[in-house]
Parts: sequence; structure tokens; C-alpha cells
Amino acid sequence: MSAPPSDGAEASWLRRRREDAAAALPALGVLLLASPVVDAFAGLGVLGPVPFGFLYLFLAWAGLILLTARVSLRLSAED
Amino acid sequence: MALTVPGLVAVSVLYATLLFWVAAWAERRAEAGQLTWIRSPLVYTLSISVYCTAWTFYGAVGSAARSGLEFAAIYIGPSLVFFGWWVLLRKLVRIGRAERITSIADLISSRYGKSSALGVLVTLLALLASTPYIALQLQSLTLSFDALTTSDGGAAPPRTLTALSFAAGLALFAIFFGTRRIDANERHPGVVAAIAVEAVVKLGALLAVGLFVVVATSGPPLALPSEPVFTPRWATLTFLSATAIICLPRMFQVVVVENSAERHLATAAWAFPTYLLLISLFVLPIALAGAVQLPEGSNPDLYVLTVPLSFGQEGLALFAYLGGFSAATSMVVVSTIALSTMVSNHIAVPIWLRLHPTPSSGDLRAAILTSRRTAIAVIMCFGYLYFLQTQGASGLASIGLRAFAGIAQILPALLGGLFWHGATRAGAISGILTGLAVWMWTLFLPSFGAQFLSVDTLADGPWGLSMLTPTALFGSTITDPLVHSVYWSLSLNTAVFVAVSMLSRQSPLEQAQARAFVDAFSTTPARVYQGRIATAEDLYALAARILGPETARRLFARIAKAQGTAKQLPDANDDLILAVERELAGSVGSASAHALVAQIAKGGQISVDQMIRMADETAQIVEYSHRLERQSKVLERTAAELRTANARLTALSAQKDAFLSQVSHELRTPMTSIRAFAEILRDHGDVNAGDAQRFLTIIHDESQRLTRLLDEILDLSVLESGRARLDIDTVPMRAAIERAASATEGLRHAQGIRLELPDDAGEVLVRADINRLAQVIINLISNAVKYGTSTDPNVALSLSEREGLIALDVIDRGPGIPEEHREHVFEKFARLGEMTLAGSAGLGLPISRQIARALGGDLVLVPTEKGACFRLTIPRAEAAEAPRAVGGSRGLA
Repeated sequence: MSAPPSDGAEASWLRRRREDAAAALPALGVLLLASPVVDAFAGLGVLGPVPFGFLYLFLAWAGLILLTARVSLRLSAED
Repeated sequence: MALTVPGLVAVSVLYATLLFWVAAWAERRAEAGQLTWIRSPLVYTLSISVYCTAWTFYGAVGSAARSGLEFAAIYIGPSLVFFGWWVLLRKLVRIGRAERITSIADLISSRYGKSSALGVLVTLLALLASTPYIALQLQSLTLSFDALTTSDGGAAPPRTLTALSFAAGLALFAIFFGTRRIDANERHPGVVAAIAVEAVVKLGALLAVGLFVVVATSGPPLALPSEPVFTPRWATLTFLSATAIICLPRMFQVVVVENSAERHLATAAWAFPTYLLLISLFVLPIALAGAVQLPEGSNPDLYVLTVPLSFGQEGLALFAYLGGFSAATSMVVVSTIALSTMVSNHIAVPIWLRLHPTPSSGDLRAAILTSRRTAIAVIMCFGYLYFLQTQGASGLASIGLRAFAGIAQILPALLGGLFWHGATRAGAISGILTGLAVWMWTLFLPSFGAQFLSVDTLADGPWGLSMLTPTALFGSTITDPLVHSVYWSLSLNTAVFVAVSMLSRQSPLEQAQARAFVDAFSTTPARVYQGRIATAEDLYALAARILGPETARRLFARIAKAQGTAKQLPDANDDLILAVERELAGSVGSASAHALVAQIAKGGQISVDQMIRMADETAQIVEYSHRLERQSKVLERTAAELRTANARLTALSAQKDAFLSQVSHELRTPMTSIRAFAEILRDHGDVNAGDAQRFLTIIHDESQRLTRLLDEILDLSVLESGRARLDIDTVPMRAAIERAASATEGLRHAQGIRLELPDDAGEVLVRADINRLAQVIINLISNAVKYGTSTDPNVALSLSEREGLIALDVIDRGPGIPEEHREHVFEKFARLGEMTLAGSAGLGLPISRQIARALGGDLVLVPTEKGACFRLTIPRAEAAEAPRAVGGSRGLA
């Protein structure tokens, strides 16, 4: 992480970066959940009783949820 | 113990009563203005879960049993939209609030110039797509009711009757809580509270069944079909479900219309995907347990119920039934409310306005409420009829997907409207019509089998035109009919929308609305002046007719207060007309509100020329006000300068008065003495020669002192005014010091004071006027001699160099000068204590300081521990400059 905002310019840069992150999240979501990436993991077979595809799908989904929570909580805290 | 029909009916009725009670409680709280709990981000998120219908609840398991992970796509699509809330949902909510949008049809109509045609088109499309969806919920309810009551071989009541009862009950609930009044914002706290409760029940039920399955079967192997997961169908399902979360009337209702604060979105952005993840977590285990546990040929769409039943868990099955019941009822209630709002605002009100062309005739409020209630009943009838028509047909999921594909035809016009200034009404209408036609031809009509299209047409296209075969348009070989239909309908829709938009022009109102929508986040709201004229009385009457007298009175009082008028009615300007239109739009939709206001407002057609002229006028006014601002700033600055100058003058005048009184006092003392001795000499002839000589000496001394004093005053005034002529040259410091030493020799001898000269004065050169410099040193030495009385009465001179200046310190060993007098000594006529010494009028130090400053140096009093130390600083001269021969002395002091 970069240094804490020391002045207005730094704070507004951080803010813009968070907004960009918020806009980029669905693109990352499409890449992880609605692209051939899914197949790359589904093709790995099973891990114990659980298929890899199932595991990957839900873990990627949960990861995106955490990421969104982080970004949007910060964004809304600034408003 | 089997669940009997009366028992299940009783449970259903009890649960429904609970929901009624929750809704009524929330409505009461809303009326009392206590909405903190209902207007929380949590309830908002839970209400969005109306997305998870009975299709989700039962159908997802069925889909998982048939095609593995595919079911997850239906949840991933909406999750992606919520991950991107910052881009799309935030804008929708912002616009929804600013423009008082009441439905998805209203949004599209409002964006494209408040077009009634688009409102009607979207409303009809939504009706067409939602009817099968509502039928689907009735089917789920009926099937689940059947499954529970026949689990031990008992007989279920006829399905048609069960479905009819459900339809009637749901219609009642929707009418009761959805159309109680005309809300200014189309919000329904009662309904929202009830569906939030249902959201918790359905999630709890599915999690309970899932956990039970995992524990009871100790985790069955999750065997999956080994086909690839990411297929065209996966992409299509993700896309359709993402579209549905914004375009479906009920989703638009809960996400945009019922949203009470934009920041709730930030919570829903992660909380709603979490809800979806949880609700789909156990879908696959339940499906696989069902396949293992239940006999071949069981309906996988009912595994959620039948799996617990097969383990003898009737309580759990009942819980699952209530979960499905919740999912179906919340969907139907919100859907019918949203659809009825659309029908009344875009179809019923325009018809009513046609029938009542004069502004004041008829009770529009009652008409709106009646039309909404009727609409709910009619929509429910359609749903029921569709259910009867297709009973037992395809799986639940395919009906839902058909609806999704239909409503997705709004998407190009919606996204274009939000992000593209150039999207036009004509483009939107033609795009939607194209998409609708292709969707009906390729998906909707074929779903009825050979009922509407002949077998030949289905197989080979109409009249043998194979290019137009419903499931293979233009000879395409996409095998999945859903993917085929979505691909063709949406791509043709988008192409036509863009092409026609580029070929057509926008009306001024459309341009204004396009700006308001696309630039929703700009800081200056796009406001368009429409030049309409109406009286405040007419506007009030109109608002009262639709909003009710109390709301209208409050609205007008608020506007009057904002305008600052003392009158009861605000001034009827363009702002008032706009405000009234916006409030009305919150109740009857933007197109109808615009039409209503048009009935009483004259003018309103505004040309581009007029707009340009008004823009010019505005620009002129802005420029003028800028000029005024600049001028007032200049005036302010001048006034401030004058104030400072005045203060300075006042201070100077006071100083001058003090100086004059001091001067007269100083002159008076020697004059008195001179006069006194002169009088003695004149009046007493017998004064002896010795006395006479003494008196004459005193008179002479005193007049000398007077002359010196006057000289000093003149000198000081010349120095202070900066008119002093200085003969600056390179001067050896030694010369000046020696001259001063010899000038003060007599004085020093009289007092018995020794002068300690610096040893190194020989080489130091300064830039100065030698006479003036010597005058300053003489002054300082005289002062030291006069005041430095002590047991060790010596005066020391020392030289040093500081920051390019030569510093000469004159130090005595006297009592020193107290700190509070340090600056005081440089004031005119200042004397320390009562020590008044002959020959000094107290001008020596001020003159010396003026000279030092005129020479580019300074004279200061340096704080010391004992005695006084005056430091004279003079600029140093470069050694290269040869010293000039020193001329005669002209000491003043």
C-alpha cells in the first residue's frame, strides 16, 4: 500500500483509484466466472469428494464478494 | 404422520396471516414516520432477494440434477451486476430518485422525451414476459402443495383449484398492500417488510435442507458431468440473469424504486451476492442426494421437498414448503404491483386523459387506484390462464429463461439511454420492436408447440422460407433454442437501435432528458427551461387532484417558502411547473405527468433558436455579475488601503503634537534663563563687573545651547525626510574614531574618563560619510561619558565584523539601561530617568540612528549584563577601494 494521504492531491488520487477499482470489479468477475477460465479449473478433476469446478466457482465468487465489500465500504465511508 | 390437505391449508393461511401482520405493522410504522428499521441496508438487500423465486427455490435443484453446475450461472449474472454497482446501479438509482421514476417503463419513456408510446411498448413487453413467469410461480406452489399432501399416497385437491386459491390470495395481498394509496414515491414499506421476512425464510429453508442432506448422507460424492462448464449456454444464462436483475419490472421496483438511500447500494453490492452464494451453496448436494435417494423418474424440480420426505423428515419438508411458498408469493406480489403501476401510468391514465380533456373533470385519484387494482386482478388472471394452458409442460427453469429473454429486449435502449447522448426515441422504439418480434418468433411462439405455428413452419420456416425457420434463423446452426433466440433478438435489436438513432433527430425535450440521464452525476443538473405558463391556482388544483389536498398543500407551502414569498401560493414560474410535474411523475409516471401539466400549461414548445437566445441572455447576465464582482473587489481593496493610510496619518499627527510640545518645553528652559539674566542686567545698574561677566557667560552659553538644539532639530528633520546629503566614500574606521576621540577629549578630561580604543582599527575600511560617521561616534562617546558614571568610569570601543557589516560597540560601565527603556532611548527627547544633563536635549541618539540607517547600517542597543553597549553597524568597503584623503571635521554634537 502507498503512504497515507498527506495532502488533497494524494487523497483525490486514492479516491479515483478506488472508483476505478469499483468499475473494474465486474470485468474481473466476468474473467473469473464467465470465461473459459472456469473450464481450466473444472478440468482438474476432483479434490476428495468435491469436484474442482464446484470448488473454484464458489471460492472465486466468495473472493469477489470480499473484494467488492472492501472497495464499496471504503467508497461509501468517504461520502 | 402425513400432512393432510386441511393441515397444509391451515399452515399456509397461518403463514400468510403472519405476512399480512408484518406488512400492516410496517405500514403503520411508515405512517407514524418511524421507518428506521425498514429503511436499513439489510432490509433493502433482503428485498432484492425477490429475485430468487420459486423457480430458484425448486428449479435450480432440478437444473443441477439435469445439467450440473449450469444452475450457478443464474446467480452469477446478478452477482456480477452488483459487483459493478458503482457503474450501473448507482446511476440508475441516482436517476430514479432525481426524476421520480416509478417503473422500468417509466424510465425508458422518461429518457426518450417522456414518450407515451415507449411507455406503452415496454409495459406490454413486460406483461408478455411476466405472465409466464407468474404462471410458473402458481405451478410451483401447486406442485409443492401436491407433493406434500400426496407423500403418503393421499389424494390432492384438483390442481386447478389449488392454483386458483393461491392466485386469489396473492391478488388480495397485492391489492391490499400495493394499492392502499398513491404514494408520492411509489414506495411500499409494508410489502418490502413482508418480502424481507420471506427472504429470510426461504434462505433458512434451503440452508436447512442442504445441511440436513450433507449430514444425513455424510456427503454424497459430488459427481458432475464431465462436459465443459463454460459453454455458449453458460455465457447466455449469465448474461440473461444479469439483464434480468435490472430489466425485470419487479427487480427494478425493489432495486431502484424502493431504494430509500443511495448508500444502501454499497451494502447490497456485497450482501446480495452473499445471499445468492448461500442460497446456491447446497443446490448441488440436494440434487445429487435426490438422484441417489429417490426412485427413477421422480421430478427433480421437487427434490427440495421430496428428499426430506424420503428421510421421513416431515417438519423439514414443511419448512421447505414454506420457503418455496415465500419465494413464489413475494415474486408474484412485487411483480403484480410493479406491472399494475406500469399499466395504470402508461395505459390507463393516458386513456382517462383522452376521455377527460378538460382539466378539472373527473376524479383521477380514484381512477388511478381502480385501474391499479383492476390491473393486478387481470394480470393474475392472465397468469392463471397461462398456467392452465401449459400445465405440466416444460421444466420450471425454461419458462423463467423465456421471460428473461423477453425482458432483455429493453436492455439496448436502457443502456444506450444511460450512456449515450445520441440515443433517440425512434431508435429505442424500433430496436425494442425488432427484438420483441424476433424473440416471439424464435422462442415465445415455438414454446407453445404447434398451437400457434404450424408444424411445417416450425420445421422449415413460413411458406417454405428456410431462412426464417424459428429455431434456425438465417440458416444458423446454434442448437440451443435459448442461445439462438437471445443471440439473434439482441443483436438485431441493438443494430436497429443504433442505426435508427443515428438516422433520427431528438426533440428539445428529448435532448434535455438525455442530458439529465447521461450526465446524472454532473454537478450542475441539466435543467431545461420550457417556457410554459400556468397559474399557481391551476397547478395547485391539479396537484391536489392527484396527490391529495394535504400532500399538495405541503408541497406548495414548501415551494413558497423556498421562493421566499409571503403569499400562500408560490409564484407560478417555470420552476414551480417543473416541481409539480416531477411530484406528479412520482405518482403517475413522467409521460402522464407531462401530459397532465400540458393540459393546464400554455406554451411549452420551445425551439432551438429560443434556447440559444436564452443561453445568450444567461451568458450576458453571468458576465455582468462577474464584472460587478470584480469592481466590488477593487473597491474593497481601495477602502482597506485608505483605512491604513488614515490610521498612519492619525498616528503621525499625534507624534507631531507630542514633538512640538516637547520642543517648546526644551526651548523654554534656556529662554527663561536668558531673559532672567538679561532683565537683571537691564534693571540693576549696580551689578558688579564680576557678576555681570558671569551673567553674560550664562546668557551666552544658554543661547549657544538654544542654537545647538535648533540645529539638531533641523538636522533630524532633514535626516527623517531623507533629504540629507551624504558624501559617501571609502573611509578608514580609524580616522573616524580618532576624530571622535579628539573631539570628546575635553569632556572626558572633565569627567576623568579613559577611552579604550580598539587595536585593529587600522585596516578596517567602511563605506560612509566620514563627517556623519564621526558625528555618530562622538554622540555615542558623549552619551557614555554622561551616563556611564560609576567607580570604574572607562568607555571601551571594540570592532567586529558581522554579516558583511562592520560593527563598532561603544561600552560603558555605568548602571546600564533597563530592558523596558531599550527602544525608548531612540525616541526624540527621551531621557533616562531624571538625569537631565546640560547640552543634551535628548536628540543625540535619534539623530545617530537616522544617520546610521541613512548610511546603510543601524544603531541598536545590545543587551549586556552590566553597563550599556551601543552597537553601530556600517557597510564594509572592499579593500581594493583606496581611501580618500579625509577632509575637515564638521561635528554637530
